[in-house]
Amino acid sequence: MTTVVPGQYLEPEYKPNDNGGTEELCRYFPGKGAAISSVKVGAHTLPVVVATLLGRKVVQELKDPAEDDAEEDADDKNNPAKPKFRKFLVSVVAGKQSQYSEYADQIEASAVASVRAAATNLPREGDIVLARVTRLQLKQAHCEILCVYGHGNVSSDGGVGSIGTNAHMSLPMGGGSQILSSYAAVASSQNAMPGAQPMDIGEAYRALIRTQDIRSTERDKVKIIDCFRPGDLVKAVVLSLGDGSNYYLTTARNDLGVVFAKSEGGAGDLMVAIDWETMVCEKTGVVEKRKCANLFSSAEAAGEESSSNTA
Amino acid sequence: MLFAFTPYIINSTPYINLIPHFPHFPAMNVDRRRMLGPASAATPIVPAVSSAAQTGTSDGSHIKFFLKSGLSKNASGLAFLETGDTIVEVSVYGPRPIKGLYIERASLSVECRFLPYITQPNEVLYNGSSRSNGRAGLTGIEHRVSAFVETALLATIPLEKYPKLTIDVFVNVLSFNANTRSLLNLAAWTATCTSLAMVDAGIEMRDLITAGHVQLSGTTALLDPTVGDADDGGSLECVACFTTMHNNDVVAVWMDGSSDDAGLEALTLQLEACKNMSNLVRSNVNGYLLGLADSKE
Repeated sequence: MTTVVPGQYLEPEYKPNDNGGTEELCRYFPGKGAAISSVKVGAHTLPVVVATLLGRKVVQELKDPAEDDAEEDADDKNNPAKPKFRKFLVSVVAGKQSQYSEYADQIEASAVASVRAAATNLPREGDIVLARVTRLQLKQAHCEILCVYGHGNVSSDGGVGSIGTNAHMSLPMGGGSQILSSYAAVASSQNAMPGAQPMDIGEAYRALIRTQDIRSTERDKVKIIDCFRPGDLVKAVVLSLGDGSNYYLTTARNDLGVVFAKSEGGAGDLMVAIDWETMVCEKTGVVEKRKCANLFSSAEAAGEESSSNTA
Repeated sequence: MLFAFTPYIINSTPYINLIPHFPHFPAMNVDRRRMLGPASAATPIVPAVSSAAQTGTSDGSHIKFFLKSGLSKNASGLAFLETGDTIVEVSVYGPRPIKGLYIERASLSVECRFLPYITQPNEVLYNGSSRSNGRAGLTGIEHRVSAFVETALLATIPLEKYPKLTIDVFVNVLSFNANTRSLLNLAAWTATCTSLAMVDAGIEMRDLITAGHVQLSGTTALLDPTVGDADDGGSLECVACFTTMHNNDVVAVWMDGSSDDAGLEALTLQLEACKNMSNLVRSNVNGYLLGLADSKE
């Protein structure tokens, strides 16, 4: 496990196998904290995987053969005598900041998921995330994304944003070039009013769950108040990056929905799901409606059950 | 639940400044119009300030700087750099979400500010008449340093990895002696410090940025010069930022001076010297980073 600094060359993108096999080549994909850069060596330009973070270098072999089949098939037609590749994922893990980084080399790697991943755990399309419902509207529920499954917290101060002083505000485009966008700006600005606050502390990754994305059947009959309440923790999938303000999430799957809720709008006790649309408080027996997640159904079962769900 | 709006009734009586006349007020020889210190106050002993008489050398053997990162928990990343009389602190906020339209790449902003009491280099020259630089609250000098650092950063941060996000860099110049150091020298150290702050914030960079600052004295280039090092007629100053990737790419250049011989030869000479200083700084920064990473393990 070597420590690397940003800009350090980790591996060339293609490398002949060390075992001396003439047919086999090693291909290295850049994972988190790494990027491909071309380096001039004499007259040639060589693609090299370089570190973009300070941390430990982690190399994992990508085992799943089905993963890049489509890509390989297309390549094979052009070049029938293409050598066999062993694929590796090279990533840089920064310090011991989270449990994830500690076990990074044991987590199953997938090139498709990792190549364009940023070092921070930003939500991307298709990611399963944990979000907290902050506000309900007739057509949509507002949430704040807290963490991405399998990757850790979205930001170090996640969850702070929506209880901050000005949680509804955010930075406009152009970032902090206006005054009062950070504590430093407030402190050093000469025209800040006494008692001025920065625009927000702990920026939230805001998201929306629209009524039509809550469940897969009878979408037009969905009443948002029967599905979520503010404060609920929801397991959801990122549908799209959405607009500038919100990510779009969906819970239209059996394993998605509310995983943690308290009764009486948060004043009561923890509730447990008794079926996919009802939760009951263990202490008081209060029954409330939610779109519950079945956390113990496998992905295949989720597809089969979807019809029985709404029957 | 609805609340009826009850307006506050504001008492509109004009404020009258009543000065009470105290019959027991002390004797008239006490000055009561000013706030005076206690009679027993002692004058603080100010130590003799050592003038930064360090001069630039062509091999850079005199360059000394102090680095520290990760001092703050409020900012995502923070770095502190001290060299001579110059103290720069850079804080990085982000990546954090923006509000508004969807953007595919992160938006990067750099804002450099001098503490209010610091004399900015060439203050009159840059700030004189025009304050219209489009950036609210930034003086011409601050704007120039910001622009230089931003140029260097843009080439090295993979902004496409951070959609819908913003990265804000705040440079605070805590100390600067305009009599000994030029603006370009500040720009060079600021760029180096900023790249360290980026590393501390965990924002991906294709490579570190380190900068070199040189001044031509005849045909020799002095590294990290002080003001007046090469005042033999016209002198040319150059600051350039490098990444070692792609065989020492230049990511930002800034030249200043009044020399007539600012030809290609002088430029090449200066860039070469800048590279030497940049490499010198880089090896130290890398050493610092490796030490930092190992201590965290």
